[in-house]
Amino acid sequence: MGFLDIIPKMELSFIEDGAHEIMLTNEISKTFGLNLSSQDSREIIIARNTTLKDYGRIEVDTEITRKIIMQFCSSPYIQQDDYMETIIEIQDLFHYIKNELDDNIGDDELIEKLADLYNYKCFGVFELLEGRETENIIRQYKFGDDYDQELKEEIDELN
Amino acid sequence: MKSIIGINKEALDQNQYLASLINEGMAAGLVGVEFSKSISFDLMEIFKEVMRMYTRGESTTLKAETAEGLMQSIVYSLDLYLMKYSAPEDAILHLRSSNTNMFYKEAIEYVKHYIEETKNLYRAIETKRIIIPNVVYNETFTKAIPDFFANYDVIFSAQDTSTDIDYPLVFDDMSIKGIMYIRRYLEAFQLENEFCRKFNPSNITALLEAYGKFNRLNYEQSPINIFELIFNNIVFLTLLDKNKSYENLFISAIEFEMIEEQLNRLEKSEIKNLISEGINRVMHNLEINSGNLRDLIYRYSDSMMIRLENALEHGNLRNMVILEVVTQYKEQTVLEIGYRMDNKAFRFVYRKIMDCSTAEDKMILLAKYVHSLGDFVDLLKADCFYEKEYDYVFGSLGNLELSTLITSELKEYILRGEDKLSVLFSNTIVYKYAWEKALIDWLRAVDKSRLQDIELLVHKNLVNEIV
Repeated sequence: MGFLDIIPKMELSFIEDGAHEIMLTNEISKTFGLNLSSQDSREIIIARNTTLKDYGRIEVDTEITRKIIMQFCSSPYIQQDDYMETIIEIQDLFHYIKNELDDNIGDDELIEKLADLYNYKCFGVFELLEGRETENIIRQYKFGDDYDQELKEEIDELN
Repeated sequence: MKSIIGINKEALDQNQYLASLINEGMAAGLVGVEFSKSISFDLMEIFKEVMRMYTRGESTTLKAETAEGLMQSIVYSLDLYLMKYSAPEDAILHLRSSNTNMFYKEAIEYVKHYIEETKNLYRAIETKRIIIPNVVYNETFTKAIPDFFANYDVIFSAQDTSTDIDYPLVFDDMSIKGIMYIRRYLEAFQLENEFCRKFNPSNITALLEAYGKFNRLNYEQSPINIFELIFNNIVFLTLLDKNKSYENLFISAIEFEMIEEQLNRLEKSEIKNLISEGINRVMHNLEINSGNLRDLIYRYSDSMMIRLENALEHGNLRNMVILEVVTQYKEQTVLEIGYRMDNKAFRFVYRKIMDCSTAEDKMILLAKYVHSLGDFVDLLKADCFYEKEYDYVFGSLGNLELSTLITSELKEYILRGEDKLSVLFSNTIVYKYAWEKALIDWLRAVDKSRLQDIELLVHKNLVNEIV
């Protein structure tokens, strides 16, 4: 009874269940004018499964995707027409960084950091987040830069 | 519903016990497909909990490899717990009647207890382990196994066997993992050690040293199985002498030739019977009554037979034994007083010498096999040599040896009043043996200064005897 024997069976019935859980986030996101349809939700789950497979990772539920949605739905830089794609991109980046850091960063910590960077340093430009800022995160956690402190100072200034 | 039959024990896989138990349980009609599905679901729930502990509640995602390791750890503990039931039907009954999560908690407690029992076994072995100067052997027990216990994690990596256990056993099932492997290793070592403890550690060390010299290995640093070294030698020694005491673990060069000659004369089935008798004799001589140790020996004897057949076929029997290391002195032969071959060995050497067609061949055998004065004189008395051959024989001896020979064997002639060899030589002597006459004739031809040296040594020997 290998581990992989268990997970795929769960996944087959997981897409619909997962999509349903994703759609529950609309309760909060609608206050920011954002909404995910059932189709959007399914696509997010399917993209998430592809990401996990590509990066050789597993996830036991949809908590991470929901946390990403909750953290980013309040961003002033996300509009309805790019909402689903942005969530998919952030999801992918999240798992990429988790792999690079050998899971040595908590989920909440990483999601909050990505949201802060997206909003206060990248001003909604995902390519900047994916490029320069991701490299900085990885360097900070691997080699212990003072990166975090600089970001905190910048956020404080803007606020 | 299918009729219920017993579980096919042969089909149960030690390394995937839970999975094979469920499969066989379904085949035997003890459980259905729904049970199998529910186990999968329950395992997933246990996995989530373990993952939460692993990530300290900070994540719900992991690398697949890490996750797989955690799941293997969960299943390992369940497997070990299930295997404690001698009847697999009982195991599956308990699993079926329990909540899987509770069952897992029981399994963890069982594994913790199993670890403690294994530690106790280790401590018991440490007090009885033979002392030999081999780093691999010693560090396996002073470092590798303690490190394993210190680092073993029953929750997150119960299946892990990362350790430097380098001391090789005769039987080592490397397919087993985790604490089970350590337990089996220690149990097997305990049996081998029980056998090895029957011998003097300094003799075992000498055997190791000789093994190292022959194989050009550093015996102190190489992974060498002690049981095998000792066992092979004493089985062969027992073939020559059924009531062997095993005070000396070495096989002498003569003994080796006798064994080889004996085995080469036999058919395979005869060799097998002979070795089997030898092994039974060894167990009798050493009073080996423990069932487990006897089983180990019988298992080992199967592989020993295969190796022996190959060795005889390729003329490599020498690689299966450890021979006595004979120190070479400056003189060609060293005749020790006191030591003597047993009758069997003497007859073997005598026959070989008599089979030689040239004096040179006789001399080679003499140098190879004869190291005691007593044996040397017995061969002379047995008329192994003729006429000119005596020149070779006496010519091979040094002054010290000649003086020893003369003092020991010609004393009665000397003490009749002749204190000079030269005077002795000029008299008419009635000899008991042909070799005595041959020796005197040979000495008569030796140059004067050498004769004087020999005479001096003879005089010293006689004085020492009186004193």
